[in-house]
Amino acid sequence: MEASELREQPAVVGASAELADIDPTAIAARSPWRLFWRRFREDKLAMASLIFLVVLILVAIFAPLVVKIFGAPGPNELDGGALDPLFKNPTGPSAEHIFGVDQIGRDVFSRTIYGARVSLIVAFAATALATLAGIVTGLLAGYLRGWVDTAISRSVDVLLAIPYLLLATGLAVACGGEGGCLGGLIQPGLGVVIFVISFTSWTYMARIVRGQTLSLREKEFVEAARSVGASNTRIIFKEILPNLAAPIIVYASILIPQVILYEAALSFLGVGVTDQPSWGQMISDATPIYTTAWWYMLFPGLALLFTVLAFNLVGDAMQDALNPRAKKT
Amino acid sequence: MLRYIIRRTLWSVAMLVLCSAVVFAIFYILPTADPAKLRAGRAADPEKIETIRKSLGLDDPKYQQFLRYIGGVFTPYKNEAKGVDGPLDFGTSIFQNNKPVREIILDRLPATVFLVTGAVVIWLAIAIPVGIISAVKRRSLLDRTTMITSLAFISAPVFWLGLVALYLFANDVGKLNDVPPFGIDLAIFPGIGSYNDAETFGSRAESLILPWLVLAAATAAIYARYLRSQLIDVMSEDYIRTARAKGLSEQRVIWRHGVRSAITPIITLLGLDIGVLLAGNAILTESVFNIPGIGKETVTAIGDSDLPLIQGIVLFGAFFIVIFNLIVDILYAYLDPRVRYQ
Amino acid sequence: MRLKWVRLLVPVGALLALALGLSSCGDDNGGGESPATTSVPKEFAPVTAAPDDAKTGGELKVLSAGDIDYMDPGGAYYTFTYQVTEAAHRTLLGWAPADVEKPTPDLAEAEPEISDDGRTMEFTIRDGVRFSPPVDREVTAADVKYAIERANLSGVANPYGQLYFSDIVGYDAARKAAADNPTGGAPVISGITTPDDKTLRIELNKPKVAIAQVIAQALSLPISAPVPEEYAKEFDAKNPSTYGQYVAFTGPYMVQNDCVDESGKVVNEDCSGELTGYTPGKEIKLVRNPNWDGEATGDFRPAYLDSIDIQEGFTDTASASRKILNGEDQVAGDFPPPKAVLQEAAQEGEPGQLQLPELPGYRHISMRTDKPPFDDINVRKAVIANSDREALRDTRGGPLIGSVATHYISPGFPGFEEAGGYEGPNLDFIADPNGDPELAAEYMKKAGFKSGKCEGSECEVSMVGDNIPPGKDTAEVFKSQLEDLGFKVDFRPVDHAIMYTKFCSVPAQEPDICPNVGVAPDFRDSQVLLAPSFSAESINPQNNTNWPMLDVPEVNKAIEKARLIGDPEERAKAWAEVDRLVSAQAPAVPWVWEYFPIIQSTDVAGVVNLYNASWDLAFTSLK
Repeated sequence: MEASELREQPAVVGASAELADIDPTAIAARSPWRLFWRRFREDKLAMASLIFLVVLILVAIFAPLVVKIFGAPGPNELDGGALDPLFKNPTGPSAEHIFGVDQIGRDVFSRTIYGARVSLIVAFAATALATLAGIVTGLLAGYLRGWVDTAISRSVDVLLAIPYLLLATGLAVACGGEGGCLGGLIQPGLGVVIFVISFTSWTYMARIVRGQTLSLREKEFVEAARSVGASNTRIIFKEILPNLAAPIIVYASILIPQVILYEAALSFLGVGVTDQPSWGQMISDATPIYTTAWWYMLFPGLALLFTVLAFNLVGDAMQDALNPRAKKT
Repeated sequence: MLRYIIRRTLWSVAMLVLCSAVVFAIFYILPTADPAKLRAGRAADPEKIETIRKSLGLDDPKYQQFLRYIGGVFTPYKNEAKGVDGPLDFGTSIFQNNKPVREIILDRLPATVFLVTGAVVIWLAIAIPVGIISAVKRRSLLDRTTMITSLAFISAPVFWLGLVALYLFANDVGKLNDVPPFGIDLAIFPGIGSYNDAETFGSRAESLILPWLVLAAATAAIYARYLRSQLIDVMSEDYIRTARAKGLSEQRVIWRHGVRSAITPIITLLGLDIGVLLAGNAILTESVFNIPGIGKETVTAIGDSDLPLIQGIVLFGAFFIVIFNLIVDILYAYLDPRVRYQ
Repeated sequence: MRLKWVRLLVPVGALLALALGLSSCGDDNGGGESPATTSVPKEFAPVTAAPDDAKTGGELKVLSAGDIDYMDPGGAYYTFTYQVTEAAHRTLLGWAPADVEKPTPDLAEAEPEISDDGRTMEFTIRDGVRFSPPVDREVTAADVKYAIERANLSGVANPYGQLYFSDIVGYDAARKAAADNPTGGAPVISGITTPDDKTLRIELNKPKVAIAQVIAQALSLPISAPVPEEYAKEFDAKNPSTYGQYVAFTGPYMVQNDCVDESGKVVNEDCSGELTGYTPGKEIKLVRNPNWDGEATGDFRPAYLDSIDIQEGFTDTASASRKILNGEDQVAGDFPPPKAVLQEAAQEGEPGQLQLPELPGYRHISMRTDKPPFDDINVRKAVIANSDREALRDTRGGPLIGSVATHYISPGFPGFEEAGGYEGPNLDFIADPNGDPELAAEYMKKAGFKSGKCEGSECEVSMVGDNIPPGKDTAEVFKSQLEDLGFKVDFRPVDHAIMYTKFCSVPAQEPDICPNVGVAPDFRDSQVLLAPSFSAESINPQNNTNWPMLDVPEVNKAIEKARLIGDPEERAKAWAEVDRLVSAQAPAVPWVWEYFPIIQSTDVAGVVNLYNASWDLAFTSLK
């Protein structure tokens, strides 16, 4: 993904209307979740996507069962017979292998199913970490202001100055050597990928949380709490954080599909997950033979497309549902 | 205005130093492995590793190493004795026979610039009309279809799009070379690696058509959606209603007031995106189509585990973005006075 | 060229082979031959001589994925680099395309004279061989002496000098002196002397004819390419040496420098010798060496082409291969065509476009014999018995990519037949190329695993292999086979070079299994196939090639004995005996003796050099 919706908001007046529109307190006043859900439900496409995602998560969790139901072999089982005897080229979709096999005879359907695991694990773990880091830093920066804010905001600026794909690949290579990174805490493989993606994505969430916190702390109920003598911690946890829940969820849900594409990109470049089937890596493996073995490239790609699309649709609908004013559709 | 420029420039310089610090931290401090070993290249025996350790001064305390690193990067002159190759010494590549990283980058920059420029033109050419029309004809079938399609383009991994495009349209392997019912040949675009073969500007441009389209696809989609939502917002503002009430034609209202307002954030976005792409984010497209740009060079460096080269490219990317953003911001401040007082 | 498959078999694409007799696709194998052993069908037999009516002139383009390792002949070791050095330098001995039993005298007038007691050997340098501009002068024996001496400098980074030349008097002392003072010039090796301008005399520590013969063969490597001391001194005073940017050439071709133009004519009298034709990672431009006179100096190379343009960076070997097959004036340099394209080449290519020379050497999967669980010979035998070596071979492309290896002396090398030939030694665990799970279970039981499969914490083994096909595929297939036997394999795929330099060749970091190692012999003596890989003496804390860490006194003694035998027949028998002893120790799984697919455009009359199974640029011409 060369450009993304994760861009930092331009430091100019007239920044994204979407951001400014989400007014958490507007929701806080009326039973928020029911309203949200009702609006969300109206978007039929989003509902369908949600169902698709639930199914996908279940499939990922119960991958071995799913594979068995469809009668496919395991993702690492080699079927030499599925390679043509003359050139040992992989064969395409057939009765035994509904998505065909890869270059050493592994079933593509099976690997596509299992590949969902990596994508979803990384998606949720990296998003969770990035969100956590973003919330902490954003809250501190927005609430405490002063030098804390300057320090954090400037750090965010600096990190955002480095093109994230280059930063990610650089990090992955640096941590891919023996021993990993941080004294062995981060090992090559899934660990490095989650770390790298979180490290380059937390800034997005931090900016948003900071912005929200800045506007929230000026609200009356915060002043009220302060006048009653509530400590900063209490205010943060009891007043501000709950009101951040909605935008955080929305932006996290926007982040997830980006993270999935991000992990696929890293795997494609060879610095992602290597010991388990991963969609990005399958496409990378397919690159030398895609002209004849199209199935190996097509199915993981479609899996990525539909998964990310579904997350995007859900994210979009969430945004709209949380935004009572200018409905964009 | 001048004060703004000075402030911004000072901050940019500070950013450059900070970015260098981050890059330094990533490549020298973060890895657990011995930094000398990581830089010793192939078949390094203990003697060679020690030589590297001494020549890079890896035994010195970290802050000293950092100062030396910064000194090297920002030096405007050559200093053979200190092993500095200015101006702007980004280090030397281990696998390319100690060629200076700066040279390697300058070598590869033209291809990336060509790729990005073409893509920018295409995505603007697509996104602006689509965004405007979709906003104007809101909720129409056209609007809905374009929005879903653009979402699909955003959701597809760009490297996959590239492969699919090649599979269908490349003139050496494309399968759409005999489309029924008339047998039209759609596989007419030069395939992978054709940029390297191309000798004239024209044939180079031709070889970049598919890459341009692929690179532009997702961004065009994003910009179209963004412009659309911006325009919808703007159109509901009061002054638009006033304009309409004043009797201006709808077209004029849209163009003179609506678009002009909605387009400003797009321009900033554009500045950012161009900077980021030029700095090396086009790595996936370059990799799939085998275009000898900075991104492709990074891929090669990854394969070689050429740490100094990767480090140099990352640092260059950061520098490029910082400077580019500085220019864009100053330009913007010139155009929009409100900015300067932030 | 040991080890350095690195640039030879490069990213992207699985190696592929061809059908048995493509004209009869789908038929069963031509009766009698098991699919394990194959021979190359006539259509793809390598052409090792130029046509009688070979035309002179034109420019050949060589497409390659990676770069050479060093332009400096003192450091050059990659097989791909050899394609350049064999065309641009005259080493004491060289390799004629078809004649690979032993090297052909090149800079030397004839094979060296070895004294009866084996203590001295003498080379006579030919008259009239001159260096390229700007050095220009005639080559003397002192230039070869200097070339060998400078290889000791750490700035030249020669990786094989110690392996072959430590028996030369004064060699070790010189090496140590070089290590102590890296920028003090190349220390003199007292055992190498030049009684006159044309005579090179080498004295040995060990009075053995056999050792002298090995050294003679080793001097066919680029290390013996003459280097003019007065010219190279200033470059060699730096660490690393910068001679690689100023190399002086003696062969029919030279890398273009600032003295000559594209046609090899001197255009600049006032030049420094800096190479303008070498852009690392991008291009090497070879032009005619104006000071070369092949006729007058008895060079066996005809040198038809006017210039050769090596273009690097074609990491997408599929499209590069197609370019070559469908284009003009091109050949492949360091990569084989990947599967899909190989099929096209075989089925749609013109005769001669695809050739399958034998690749000397073997590939094997090594197990660490010095650590559990593979320190138990029964476990190793079980692993070998269990492995389906045909499936392993198939990851590189199937039946015609080569034969399943059964031992370590490869076809065509002395002692091959005595060691068992294609059938292999009479050992039960290596008898079945498809694997014998029952036998494997029996061996596991002998090792104490009652169930016939591995149990317990010992069974967690580590493996480091290639991260791209076909190496990665081979590793994955082997991993799967090991898991069938109850092992839990932790597989880390890394870059091929890293796999060697940071893991497999460094005993302190070596994993239990190295699946992507192999031996590419430096010359045609079975010593190079066996000693570096299985002798305890070869074990090295860096650049180790005895990956199994084998240290068996019986084997070590047999290797020492075989090293010293001079008579060719006796020597062959002795090395065959070593092979049998090694095989009986089951230190590794040998799995393929390969044919290496190389391709050319239709208008190229390529000649294959069987020494390294690649196109010989000094014999190739355009039609």
